[in-house]
Amino acid sequence: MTRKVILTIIIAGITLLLVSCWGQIEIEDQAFIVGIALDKSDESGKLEVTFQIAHPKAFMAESQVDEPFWNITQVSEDITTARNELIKKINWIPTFEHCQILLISEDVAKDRFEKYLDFLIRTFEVRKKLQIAIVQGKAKEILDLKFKSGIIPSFVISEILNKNTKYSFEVTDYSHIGRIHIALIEGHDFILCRIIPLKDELSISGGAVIKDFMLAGWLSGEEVMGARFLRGDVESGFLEVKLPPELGEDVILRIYESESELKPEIRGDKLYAVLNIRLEGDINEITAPSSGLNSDEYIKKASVVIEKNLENIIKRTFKKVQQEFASDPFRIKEKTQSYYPHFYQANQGHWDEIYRSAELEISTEIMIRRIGEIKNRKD
Amino acid sequence: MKSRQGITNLQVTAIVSLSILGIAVLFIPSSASEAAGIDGVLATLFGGIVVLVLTFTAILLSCQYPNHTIIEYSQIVFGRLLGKLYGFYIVLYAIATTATVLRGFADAMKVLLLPKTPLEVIMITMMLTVAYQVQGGISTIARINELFLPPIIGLILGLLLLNVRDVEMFRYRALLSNGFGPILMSLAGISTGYLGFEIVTFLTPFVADKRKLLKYGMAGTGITIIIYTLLVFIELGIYGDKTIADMVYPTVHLARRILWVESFIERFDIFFLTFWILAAFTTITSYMYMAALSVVRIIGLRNYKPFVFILSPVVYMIAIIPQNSVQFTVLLKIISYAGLAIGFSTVPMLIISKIKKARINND
Repeated sequence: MTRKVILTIIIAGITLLLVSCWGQIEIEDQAFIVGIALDKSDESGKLEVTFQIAHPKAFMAESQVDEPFWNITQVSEDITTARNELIKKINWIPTFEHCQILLISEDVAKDRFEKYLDFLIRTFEVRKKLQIAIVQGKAKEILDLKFKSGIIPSFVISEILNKNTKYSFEVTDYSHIGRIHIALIEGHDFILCRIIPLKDELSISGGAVIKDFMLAGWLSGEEVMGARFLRGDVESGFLEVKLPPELGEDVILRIYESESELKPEIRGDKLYAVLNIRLEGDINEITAPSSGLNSDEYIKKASVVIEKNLENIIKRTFKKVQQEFASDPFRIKEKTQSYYPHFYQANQGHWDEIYRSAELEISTEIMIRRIGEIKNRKD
Repeated sequence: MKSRQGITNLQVTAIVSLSILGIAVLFIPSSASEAAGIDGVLATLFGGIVVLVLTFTAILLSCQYPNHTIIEYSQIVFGRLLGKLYGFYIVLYAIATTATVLRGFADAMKVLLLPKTPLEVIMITMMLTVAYQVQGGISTIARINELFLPPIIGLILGLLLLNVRDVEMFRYRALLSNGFGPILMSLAGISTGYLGFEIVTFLTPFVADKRKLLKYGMAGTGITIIIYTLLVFIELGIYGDKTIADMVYPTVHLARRILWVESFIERFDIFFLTFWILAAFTTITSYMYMAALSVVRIIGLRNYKPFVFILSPVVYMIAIIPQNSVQFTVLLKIISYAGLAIGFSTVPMLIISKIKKARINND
């Protein structure tokens, strides 16, 4: 009996001692960095790193805190050094585990910025779905904006980038950190989304073409739509088309399913990018509906014009990126490496010339399924 | 009671497959890609087939001597002196591999889950649990392996399913673009990821139904081939060969990138790692069991259980030898090729034993 008692005491004692974790940090002691903004600092070679830190208390039902978040700016060489400086300044331990967005201002992006991204790939602290965006202006200002639809700017922006890309063609997101790693290793270009700070609000539309981890140029909202079709990651959105007056002037189509595939083809010595697009949608709005709306003929005519319209947008975007920026964010190089490995290996040296002289061939198929709920019959 | 009759066939399959699924599952896509590029998928598959053949010969060989472990029948096949030397080689290999897998496990734990916990604490707690299980005997080991097989396989398949839609098939157009050369050259290296199957050479005396041992033993290796090949296929399909070769723990990346139902499931890697600890645990117990059993049988005694506690500190001392991850990789390479040698040695052993048996029959 005594043996059982002693054994129970020993086991209970050991269990109590074992229950804590070596690496435990109390949640109240942690500063959750939810957003990072990088701006160029006046001191040469240094950055202004702004951290947006969220109060855990702000997420409780009745938050007694006036400021659910606050922004703190550090001048240092890069993000991790700034974080280390932060440890010296506040009585919390900063952590990137809930970081939602990384905003890079255009001044910083004009020089090679992959060195700032190294820690994102090398450590496990940052979540994979971190959104990265280029700000056409000062990145800090974005973190200071007030939103009615959410308490903390970082979360609002991250949600826009995560969700709204599925509902609009003009917004793009970069997927996640894994793609940056691939871009780093394989040396290819990509498009990051662009945020424009306006007076009291922001506009997330368009994109920034990043070549060799440097900003090569901007794309407008329409051009980003073209780029998304070329990249193959379109989902759904609204398409605005100008039709000739007899077909209805301005038409807005709601595209609810779209597919696009870009394949490289080598004919002779020339590279062709063959793009196949398939769209399905309904008519959402017509400015001047003609009476023959509810007829197959109308739909056929309208489809042809819309297809041409879309193709022109895509061709313009392709030309701009290919010639003006000399960049390939459409993964053509990647695909050629897989489709024609021997050709690529043989011509690796002058790939840039081959890409610049590549031609785009598009074949579009748009199915306008429904015209809405009114028929516009002429009596 | 089961322990009277022996371990069941399903337990054999579980032991073989969980002995193979250990630390290699974390980095096999990276090794495959470094060795053969996009053809790493085929290299993994063919490496697995090579090991399947070796499992076949190992089991056939063991069935020739149904009541002996490899320590004993190697003395019959090679003669007393050579056999004893071979036995010592196996003892050293088993102890070194236990230490290597223990160290590999602790290193991964430190990087991925427990950065502040001292390495020694991770290793000692694992060592104690392993020792406790091994001294429970083969039936305990068999039951635990049988218990852990469904969740571990289910988890890995779940991980693969959640990632399969992001595979980009165009990457596989370059398959075999350089012919079979790269695959053949990388076979030896990749086969080492399948090590663990040699446990079958120790199991025969304890199996209840020896006639089905061949089928179930090979099924154990077969399960691992399917899992490894699918894993490498999905990894190379999502990231491409150069990027995977750059990663240290590609499988954990696969777990991290899962974002299901709009942030409902995020940081899947923690969940994955929890179950992976079980897989590492079963591998370490298998090798510890091999070590203890082989030491005892070489000396000629019957009870290996006290030796588990004598060997534990030895294993620990070997496990703390590598000072950094580079030295660890060297250790891993050494024991990998040592193990592959044991695997390949079953082929000549099988031939010699068949010849010897034929001679005895003729006399």
